[in-house]
Amino acid sequence: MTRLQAPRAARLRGMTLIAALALLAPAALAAQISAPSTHKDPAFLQTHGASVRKNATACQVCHQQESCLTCHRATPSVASGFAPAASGKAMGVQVSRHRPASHVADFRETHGAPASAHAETCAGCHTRSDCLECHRPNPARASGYHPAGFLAGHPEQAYSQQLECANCHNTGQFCTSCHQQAGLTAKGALRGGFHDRNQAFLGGHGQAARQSLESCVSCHAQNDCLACHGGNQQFRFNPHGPGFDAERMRKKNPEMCAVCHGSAIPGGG
Amino acid sequence: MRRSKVFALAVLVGLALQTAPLWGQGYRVRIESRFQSVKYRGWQLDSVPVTDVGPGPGGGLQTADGYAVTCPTGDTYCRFYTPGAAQQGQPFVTTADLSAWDFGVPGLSARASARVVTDLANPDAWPATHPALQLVEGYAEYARGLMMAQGGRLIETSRLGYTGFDGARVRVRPLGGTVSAAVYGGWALARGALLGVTDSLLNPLHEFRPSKRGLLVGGDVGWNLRWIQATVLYEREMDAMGPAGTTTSRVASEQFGADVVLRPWRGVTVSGGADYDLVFGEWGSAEGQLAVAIPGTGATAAVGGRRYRPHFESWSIWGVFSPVPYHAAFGSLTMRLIDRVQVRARGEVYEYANTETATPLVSIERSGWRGSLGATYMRSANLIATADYHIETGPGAGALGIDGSVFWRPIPRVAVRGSIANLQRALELRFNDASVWQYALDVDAEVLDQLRVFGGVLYYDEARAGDRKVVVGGTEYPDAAQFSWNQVRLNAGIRLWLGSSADRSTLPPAILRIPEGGAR
Repeated sequence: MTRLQAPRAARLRGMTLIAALALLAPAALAAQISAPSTHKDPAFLQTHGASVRKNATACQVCHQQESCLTCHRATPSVASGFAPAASGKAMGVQVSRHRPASHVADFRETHGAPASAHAETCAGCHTRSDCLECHRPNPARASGYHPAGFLAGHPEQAYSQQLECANCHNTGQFCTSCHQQAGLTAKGALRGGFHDRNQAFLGGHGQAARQSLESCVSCHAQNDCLACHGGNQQFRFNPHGPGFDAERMRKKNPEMCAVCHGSAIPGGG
Repeated sequence: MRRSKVFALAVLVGLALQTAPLWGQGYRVRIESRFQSVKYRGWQLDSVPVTDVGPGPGGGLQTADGYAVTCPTGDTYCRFYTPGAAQQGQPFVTTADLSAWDFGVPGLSARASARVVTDLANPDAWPATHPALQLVEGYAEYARGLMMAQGGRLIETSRLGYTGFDGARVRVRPLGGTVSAAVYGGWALARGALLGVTDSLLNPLHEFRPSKRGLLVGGDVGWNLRWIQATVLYEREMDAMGPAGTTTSRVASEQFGADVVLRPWRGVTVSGGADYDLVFGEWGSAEGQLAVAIPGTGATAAVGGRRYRPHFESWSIWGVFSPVPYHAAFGSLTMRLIDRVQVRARGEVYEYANTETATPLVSIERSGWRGSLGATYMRSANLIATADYHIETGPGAGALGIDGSVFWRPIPRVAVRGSIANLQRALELRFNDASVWQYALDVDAEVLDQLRVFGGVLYYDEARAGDRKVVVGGTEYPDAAQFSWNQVRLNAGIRLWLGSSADRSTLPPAILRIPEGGAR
């Protein structure tokens, strides 16, 4: 995003004269001249593209190609209709990049909604690779979205689900495979041992599971749970919460019901 | 049949007459190679006869040498975990990003991003180092006027996910771009992966998976007005379920959502959105935020609320286990306290919905909070110091840490960053508390206008310490399961830009000289 800086010599008569003045009296040229009234519209940065398409000539009174490229580095074609700043001529209006008002301190954590609402706004400044660097992380990158020492601290954020890990990481490829390599994944019948702060955890894990199911999934296979929760198994502990809509599930995907219930799907006729 | 042959011939002749160059006249290539060396410690499952364990100082059972054990009722053995073998990974990744245009057909361009991945130590130690060649994105794009069409490997980005697929997308922007509408479809990639869901690399525990890649379809309609930007979204993925060879299609995922951004006054932004899972009939995640930037002060503030509920595809059983959402309220403030010093604070409280489970023997935290305080001292753009404190406590784990760093650019093309951090981390369900000190030094040098090299070293001083102690003969000993895990981590990389003159990967000096503060 940009904040438009008033032209140092715009609206004066002739760029040649401005260039001469710039050489002779740079201090005098530092005076700021107010931007056009259209630029004071709060939504101007989001809507200026339409103005450019409508009448780029008006923009070029002050702006040159470099003005556009300050932000539109990822899409240089948007500046193709503007003349470049030629050597020996006046620089024209100067534009500097600023964080837009929406980019508050924790914007990195909360940018999802505005990015989804109108991704073209983001593309004004950000390249595609800006997104992919975090959302499709490079395994050789020591730090990026997460700090370098995140490995030691990741349980807290994973348990509390501060963010959705699956937005960037495939849980099977990233979480489970690493936990398996570390010897954390469950093997054979569940007999406890890892959750050693409470001897009765296996018998009372329901609350923890419904709160942080993504964490359970990072070490446990579906069969670990089906051993007791399966509709065809000995215990048949019902895993469905009170809001579970069995009829909807049966209509959308009856084969999922069959994984536990076999052909005897409750209510399946 | 005959008509299609004539059509194909006409297309070929048309292409030949275009005499378009095979390679775009405008292009940009970024090539980056990165390497890092990391270690981590695993665990080893062990067991001991019930007759060899006894009560520990906290009342729980433990081995004679102090390991906490779990002894299932009726079992003759108790189980416990000891520190396992060291795992070392040394992933080496080369990424190429390509954008090319001017193929002789106005509006036609291409983009690709691919990686070559290998691990120089243990190929299984570090995640996502397979397969050796990974295509992140790769598509041709034709944009003309208010219409754009793309085909190839695409990633759809929205609140419904960051979904990859091999297919096509068409977007139109009628009414001068005021309205935007898109439809897309193709064979889906697995969530968060560059592979299909059928790939064994995504299934380390050999669980049930669909036998074929799902078919993804979706679309969105958005409005981009003066004060408001809004989008409604729909996405559906059909799966081939059942044993291999079964072709019955079922809904693996179906969601709709909406997002909106309002900018009622200068410096004020209201944003929010929500999504609904049509397979399970449940609201998913949602959030809303009011952000305010006070012009001329550098101060920003935000308050908001959010809700999070994980999304699972219906080809796994996890969704029917009824995961509950949590609801959170948060606020943040950034302001310039004195000249050159900016301070920031953020806080969030959250609470899970009632799980409606009866677990009298196990009590789990249901709510939590997290907060952070920080400050930045900016002597100049070439010398910046930061300090941060953060604390988090809630279900499953807690953390408390401090971070400090100094960024220094002694000469225009070289930047150095030194940092120190400490983290204290406790787990709720396991005796495994950690204390980590980190000392890091990173260097980034712009060797040439289009060539950067960078690297760093990090000393990782970790000690695992149980919060219980083993008492033998009146003397207190540390938890036997604790271990220290000191190590040196390395990273290095090189980045090269290549491109035609239209690219401007580096901007002209006139632009680079623009002061960051700028006049308003």
